[in-house]
Amino acid sequence: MTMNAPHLRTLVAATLAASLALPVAAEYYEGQTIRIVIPFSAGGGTDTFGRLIATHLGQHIPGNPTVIAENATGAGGLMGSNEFFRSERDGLTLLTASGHLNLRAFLGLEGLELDLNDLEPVVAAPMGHITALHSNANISEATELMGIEGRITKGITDPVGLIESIVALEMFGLEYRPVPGFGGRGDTRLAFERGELMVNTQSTPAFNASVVPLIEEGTAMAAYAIGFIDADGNPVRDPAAPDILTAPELYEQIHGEMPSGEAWEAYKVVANLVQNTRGTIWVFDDAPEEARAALRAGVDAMVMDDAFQAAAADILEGYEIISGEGLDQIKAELDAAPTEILDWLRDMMTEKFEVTFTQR
Amino acid sequence: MQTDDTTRLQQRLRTGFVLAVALIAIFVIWTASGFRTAARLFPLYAAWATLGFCALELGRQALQRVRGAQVSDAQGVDTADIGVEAEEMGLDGLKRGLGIYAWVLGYGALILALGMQWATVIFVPALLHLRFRSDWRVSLGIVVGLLALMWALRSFLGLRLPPGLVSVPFLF
Amino acid sequence: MWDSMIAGFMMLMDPFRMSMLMLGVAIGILVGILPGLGGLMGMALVLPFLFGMDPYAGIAILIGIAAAVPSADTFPSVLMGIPGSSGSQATVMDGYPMARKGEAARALGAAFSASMIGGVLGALALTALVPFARPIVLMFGAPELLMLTILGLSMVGVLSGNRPVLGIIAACVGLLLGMVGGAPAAPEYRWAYGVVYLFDGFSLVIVALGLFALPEIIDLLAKGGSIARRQPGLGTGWMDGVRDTLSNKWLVVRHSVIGVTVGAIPGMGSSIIDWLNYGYVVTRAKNKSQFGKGDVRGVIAPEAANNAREGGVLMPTLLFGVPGSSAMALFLGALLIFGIQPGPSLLRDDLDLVFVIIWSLAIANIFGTLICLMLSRPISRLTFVPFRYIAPVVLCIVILGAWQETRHLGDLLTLAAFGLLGWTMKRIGMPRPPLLVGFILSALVERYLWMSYSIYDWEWVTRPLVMVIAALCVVLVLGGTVMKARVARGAVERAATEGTRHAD
Repeated sequence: MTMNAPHLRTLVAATLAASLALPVAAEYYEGQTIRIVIPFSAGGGTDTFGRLIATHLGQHIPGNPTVIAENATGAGGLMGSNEFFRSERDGLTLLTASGHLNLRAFLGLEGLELDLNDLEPVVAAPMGHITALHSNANISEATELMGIEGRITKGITDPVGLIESIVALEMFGLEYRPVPGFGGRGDTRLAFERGELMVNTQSTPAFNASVVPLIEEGTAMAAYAIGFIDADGNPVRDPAAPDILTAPELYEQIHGEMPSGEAWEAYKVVANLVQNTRGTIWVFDDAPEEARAALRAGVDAMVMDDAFQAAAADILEGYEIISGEGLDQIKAELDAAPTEILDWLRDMMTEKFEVTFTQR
Repeated sequence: MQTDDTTRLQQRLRTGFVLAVALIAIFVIWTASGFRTAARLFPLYAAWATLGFCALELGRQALQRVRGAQVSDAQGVDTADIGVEAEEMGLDGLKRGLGIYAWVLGYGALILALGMQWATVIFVPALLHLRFRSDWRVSLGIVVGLLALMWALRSFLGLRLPPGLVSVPFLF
Repeated sequence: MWDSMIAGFMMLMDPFRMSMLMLGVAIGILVGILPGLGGLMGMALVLPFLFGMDPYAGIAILIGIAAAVPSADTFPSVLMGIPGSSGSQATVMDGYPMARKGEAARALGAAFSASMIGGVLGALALTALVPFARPIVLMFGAPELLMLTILGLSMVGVLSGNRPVLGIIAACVGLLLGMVGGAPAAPEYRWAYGVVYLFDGFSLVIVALGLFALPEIIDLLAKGGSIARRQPGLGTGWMDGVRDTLSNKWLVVRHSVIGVTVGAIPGMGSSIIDWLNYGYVVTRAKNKSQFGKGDVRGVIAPEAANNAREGGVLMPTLLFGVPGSSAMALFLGALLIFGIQPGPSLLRDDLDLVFVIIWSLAIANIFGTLICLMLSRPISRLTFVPFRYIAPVVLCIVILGAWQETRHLGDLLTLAAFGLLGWTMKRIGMPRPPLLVGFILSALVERYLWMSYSIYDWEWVTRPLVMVIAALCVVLVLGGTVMKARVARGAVERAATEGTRHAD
């Protein structure tokens, strides 16, 4: 529909590039269209992130390509990510994955072709998670967690999609009762409000909007945040909910020492992998060098842009965009995850929830 | 009113349908045993129930045949579905319908082979000429109209058109 | 509250926001008329443009779409027997036979006037119930939802006329087909055999198009002629339809209330609402002989309900952030784009916004149905055009609509397969509506069964609301059986009189 404007801008950019003698990267995306595949339905958390980037990224990439976001939904992200993985590795197709989709690819879920080893992150955004308890747990402090009587019901959607909350429960050693069949986290929150579920983990923005009012009226209490893990393996508070203890801190208060063992190692891997990536935009790492350089340059310019920052503040709800060195850290964390911990995670998922994995 | 032939044909076809459903139910029971518990129980119960109702219906039909009672079927089956006229219930009507279904399948095959645009360009005149002997000006008009519609849907609603295996370039 | 109501109205009266609302209505009518496309498609279309837009204008355009779709999707349902979107499946049952009798304009008039009243009642109900909605919604736990799905299944008896066993078998086929793909309670892809397309199971839109659209296209083409088998007589215009609605005003009110209520219960799946209402109107009617053959009440009931539904599904969406339908899931996402977090706090902190939504809903409903009413006269002339000229167009649009689901080869194959199934069933007198009901409810029954059992063991059976709904199911099934007995007796008597006549 707007055929002329981008062309004009491209022209201007090209002339500018020529006159300033910018590197050849400026030409790679000239007149091209970048397609960002979003393998989730429109309107979700990962989708809004993908669309935010799609709206702003194009004008900052040298060559001013048109960037379009495209939802390819189906099978919990499998259809779209498989479509992406079969696409041409020319840097013109990108993927917006959620943290859980990354983890699925990482653990090797049935039917998923995506291999993170072939990919390079372009930009990402984090999102924390917080666990709450219903008042029918009948405790007054989160530190009494281990003394809860009765059925500790936990709603299960797709087990891998809840992995950070499950690993946290494993770390505490709580005997919980899984309730399968929920369609999504929104459904589990409603059942939690009814008192059908006793523990419930929500993303921090959803927690702040929907669970905090319940805490105020006394039907729920905050238990712990999943939080983040710094480079030395220490817990870091969730920036969007800095007052809530993280799970390892709560563990330390209860037991007088930091958690240890395989569950804790798994927690360290999972917390960052899931939470650092509400959305990650990936490109193939064997896409042309100039394409990847142009994308990185585009992201660097985009995050400095005031208009982008204003739009991002509304959508990211208290978190910062991850670009540049932060991305290298994500990739490094993926590579550093110990094999035996991944095996432990797979075994735990298989034993408790009968999830099968295809090893790569 | 229906003729006896039509009634008999309809009864046979219904028996066939119920038998097919029963076979599917058996297949479900057969294959579901390999599933995880939480994925197995519901299909098993539903399939057994299906089998039960199929047996009930087949029994009823057999009884009816033994009695030779056709009176109750004279009105046809009065279900809450869009009615079909008697003449279409006979063998000729069925054949005619299947013929049209074959045309539709042909359209589908063309779409898969050549993509939506070319398939429409070929299918519409073919159907209207070979099957209905219509005026070529009408089919031309319909093709042009459809292409315009597809173009508009693609440009303004962001719809995507099925591409074919063979990519033949088109106007849009 | 009154302040907010007026403030909300004033905010919406801004010319830009009103024009966005009208744009939404226009898009909604367009995607509603095209079979296979629905509110979800329309909203997804405008979503990219919402970034950076004035939030109230953005909400207006989305609500405009949501409100107009259930009105406009009546066109294909009535005129061609093709469900325009998942909300107008049951309208086919009586609206289409009316069109075939040459009364398309009347059916449309009745449908749109019922839609308008239903939609406005839905908006009113949303206003009135906002303070009480939370306790009501919280009353429905997993066991109660399970009973509601069973209530839906017990409609099957009513929907299968004088051969309940055939109907039940059809419903069983629906249940079995609904099990293909990911199981709700276990990580298992049933009967998918590694085909990723089947992991999600069959899409309801494609199943409905296959079962109803393809058979109609095939049969009409095979028979030749036009959709309407009679030329229009006098007094078959849309004003008659409006009069029909007015003389059935309590029916409209009753079904609007049902539409709002069922829509407000999250997790029930709003696609079942029109079948529930159709089944209910048939059960309650004294003279049932014309249902399925063109009884205008069979048009009014589902149409009033499906517009009122939008008011209902907004309640859980706004109050709990739990989408009541897939289109509402998208609406929820759009609210997040504007930095609005739905939830109980919305009512406390941003009541003005809630009223902008309610006003948009009411105004969009009125304008949407008015536009549809105006379009109904010219569009219903299509039913007199030789069908062979319409068929290629409809076929092309149906295929395009089905293809938008996942844009996968499987979409076309599924459409073809369900087309054959639907055509076969139609030709041999197997009722199709029960199959659709079984298909929609299959995953829900299984899901709530596991959830109820996991949470309460078998104690769930003793919950009071569970017993109330169970009693309702019994009444419904008995009501259906009594009706059938009456119909059967009528048939026997008729046969007897015919017999004596022959004897003479």
